[in-house]
Amino acid sequence: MTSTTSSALRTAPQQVSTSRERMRSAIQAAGMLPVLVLLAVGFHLLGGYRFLSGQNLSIVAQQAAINIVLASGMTFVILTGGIDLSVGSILAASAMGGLIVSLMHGFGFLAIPACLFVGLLIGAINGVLIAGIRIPPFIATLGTLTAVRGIARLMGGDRTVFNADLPYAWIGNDGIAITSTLVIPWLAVIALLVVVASWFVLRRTVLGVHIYAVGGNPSAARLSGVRVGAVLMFVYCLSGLLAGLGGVMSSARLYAANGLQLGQSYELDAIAAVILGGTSFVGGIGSIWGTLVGGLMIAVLTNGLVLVGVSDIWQFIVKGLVIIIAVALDRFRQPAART
Amino acid sequence: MLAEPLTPVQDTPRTGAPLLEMRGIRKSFSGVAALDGIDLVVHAGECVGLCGENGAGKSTMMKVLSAVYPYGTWEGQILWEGRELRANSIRDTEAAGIVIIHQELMLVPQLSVAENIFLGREPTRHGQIDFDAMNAQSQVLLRRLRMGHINPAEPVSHYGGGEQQLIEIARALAKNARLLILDEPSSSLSRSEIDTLLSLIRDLKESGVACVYISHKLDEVAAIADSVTVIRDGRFIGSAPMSGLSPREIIRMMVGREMTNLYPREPHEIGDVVFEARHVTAFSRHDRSRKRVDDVSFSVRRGEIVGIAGLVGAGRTELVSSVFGSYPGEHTAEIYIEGRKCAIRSPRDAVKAGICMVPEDRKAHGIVPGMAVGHNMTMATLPQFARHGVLDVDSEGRAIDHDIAAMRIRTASPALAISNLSGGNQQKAVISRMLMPKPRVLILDEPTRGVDVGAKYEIYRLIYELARDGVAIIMVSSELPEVLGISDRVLVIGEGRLRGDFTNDGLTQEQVLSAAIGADTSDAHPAQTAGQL
Repeated sequence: MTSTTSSALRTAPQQVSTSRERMRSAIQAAGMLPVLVLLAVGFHLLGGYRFLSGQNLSIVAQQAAINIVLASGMTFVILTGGIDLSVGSILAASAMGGLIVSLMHGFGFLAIPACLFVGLLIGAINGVLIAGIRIPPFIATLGTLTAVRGIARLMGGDRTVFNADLPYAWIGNDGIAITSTLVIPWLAVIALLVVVASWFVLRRTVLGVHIYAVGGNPSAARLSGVRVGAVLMFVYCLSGLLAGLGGVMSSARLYAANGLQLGQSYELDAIAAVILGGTSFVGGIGSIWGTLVGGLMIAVLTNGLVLVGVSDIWQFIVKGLVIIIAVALDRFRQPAART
Repeated sequence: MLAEPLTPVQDTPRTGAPLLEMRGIRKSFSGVAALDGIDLVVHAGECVGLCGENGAGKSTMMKVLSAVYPYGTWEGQILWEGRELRANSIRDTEAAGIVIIHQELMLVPQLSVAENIFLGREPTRHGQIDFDAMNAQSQVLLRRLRMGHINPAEPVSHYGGGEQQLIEIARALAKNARLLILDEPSSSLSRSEIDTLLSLIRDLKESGVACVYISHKLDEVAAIADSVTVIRDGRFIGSAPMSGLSPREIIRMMVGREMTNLYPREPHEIGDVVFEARHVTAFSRHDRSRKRVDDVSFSVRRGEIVGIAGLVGAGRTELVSSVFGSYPGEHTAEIYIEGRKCAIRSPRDAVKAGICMVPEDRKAHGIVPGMAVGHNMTMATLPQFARHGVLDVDSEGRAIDHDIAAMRIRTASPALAISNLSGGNQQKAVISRMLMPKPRVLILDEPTRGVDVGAKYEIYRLIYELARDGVAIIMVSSELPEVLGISDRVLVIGEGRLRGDFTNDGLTQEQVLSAAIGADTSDAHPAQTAGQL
């Protein structure tokens, strides 16, 4: 050390901090992944070695898919420091819309666009309320959560709409067959595509950086010429659109939609997935990969607890505790960094 | 004269021991001395004016006195009625009778006047708040203070700034204050409200309450204070009875500092007028009838560095943020760039028109803390590095690397979150962000606040480089030496108005400060309102 030149001395600490920084960000990116692996292995051992079978994993993927799509939209919203409580209701309304259109003679091909349109429309209403009228996101989407649930019931005359010949039912029930037992469900493929597209938007586009900037410090973003209102409008429209996609996915699985029951409290699972994924609740920090892991964790828990034979009531308790403990551990890992 | 003494004036005759004596107070923050041996003596029934420039250490001194900085975190001695006071918290000092009234009022606007007066000490009966007793006691107190027109049951928000200030004083007296510390109490008051305040303080003096009056407005200090203590750069300059002092002498004591050669002033060419702001007016956000900026017009030439000086609260930030379209309240301004009128309704419009601003409060308005240094730098110009909205990460990275080297931003990596950097490097990154759009006019609001000396020097050099390249620069600063060391021309703002426009040629701090305070000085030379189109 004594023989090193002064310039080497000067650069040395910087290199150390670079590698430490890299290490830190790697841990941060990995986030809950170790916990997810632990849960999966644990359920495999406790549940009679059935959990990690190809068949069960494709069921888990299918169960996780809709939540991951909703949680992707939620990630955008939470990154701006907002929240979207209305996604479950939007999913119900758009599924209703899709089924009603699918039953119209000669217009069945418009069912999927109808789903997406309903989602986008309600998302745009959220956006106007929040970016235009400046109602706090929690309150605005609490309102649409309730109102849209009513609209969803109204659309089907408060009855289940059923279509045995649903033209897009393949989305919910088929998949890419790898082997005779291992099938990758289309639902999982869609979810993965949504995650990859979200990553691209967040990390490789102007809009993505602006989303992080608006969430991290809206005032600095505005003073830098970022159109804060337009960014907010986009994230709520996207969350609505993805909830509409969720409507396509769940109605395709069921051949039916019910305005009262469909999508009940889905928003809570989506928020839980984002939080488990390490995204800061006050905005500005987080990643879509974290949300993917978070969404998978929730699906693994749901599936694994059934497999292990835990009763319905205890499933709620265990899921809740896992969410709290996981986020508490996260806080220990990086004190005072997150909410 | 009050009907009866507010507090039982105990045996502290004027001739005897002083009520308060602070001796040799020293306080440093991470090795930098903020206070370096300050003395302050206050007798019962006396009002002491505490004077000093922005950042001289007045507020630090009062935080030591009121135990915001508890005993043991500073050196020196505080004697209260002749006995040493070792207070650990504001609770202790308030129990002793020392009450501070901060510059920003600490009232809860939704609560009633009485609830505010008794906040934390509510009279109770059977465990419930006794509102009748609270209102009655408040009424008595307010009447004694000649504030009988204030209804104790009404929410504080129904009253204006001046009356709220009086309510604060009532609250302090309800705590049996023997020494009131008023920190810039008149900065948001109108003329008549100030008169009411001063006459109230006079009444209090007669009833034996002592007072430390901190204000930039020397006419108020002259009107109310019995003696004046001046501090400068954390050092004790002197104490003298008011009767033997003129405002000019106080100003000289406040600024008499030798100029060090911190400023790399270089000759540079000054061209034609590129920027002109006409009739800038901005209204207070809270009180629409009050103007924070009152019809200010000015212009800046190519390559010219214009410093904007003024006291805290004079309206400097309001002026430049109105020009930039970011002032949150109602405001109007006519902006001309190279003679063409530009409609600026938002910072986005301003950046497009070629005006960039580095905001005053780096933490609140400058950095995006969790975001990488690099993105913090490119935030305002991302579309330049993108095609159809998709970022060209390589070209963005090259621009970031170039600026990190050019501005000497010390960071381990451009991907590091900016909150890990020192204040100076954060500031350089924010300046770099606002240079990337290649502005014709750059507004810097307190560009060196919270920045160490080395980074300060680099920022000054950068300002000169930009001026040489022909950028018109408007720099707001609270540090007079900085304004005089950097600027080609100095605009002085006082109480929202343009009080002076000086070419910086032999300009002295006394002249600027006199103009800022509104004192009449005969030896100042106003420039020929330079650069009218």
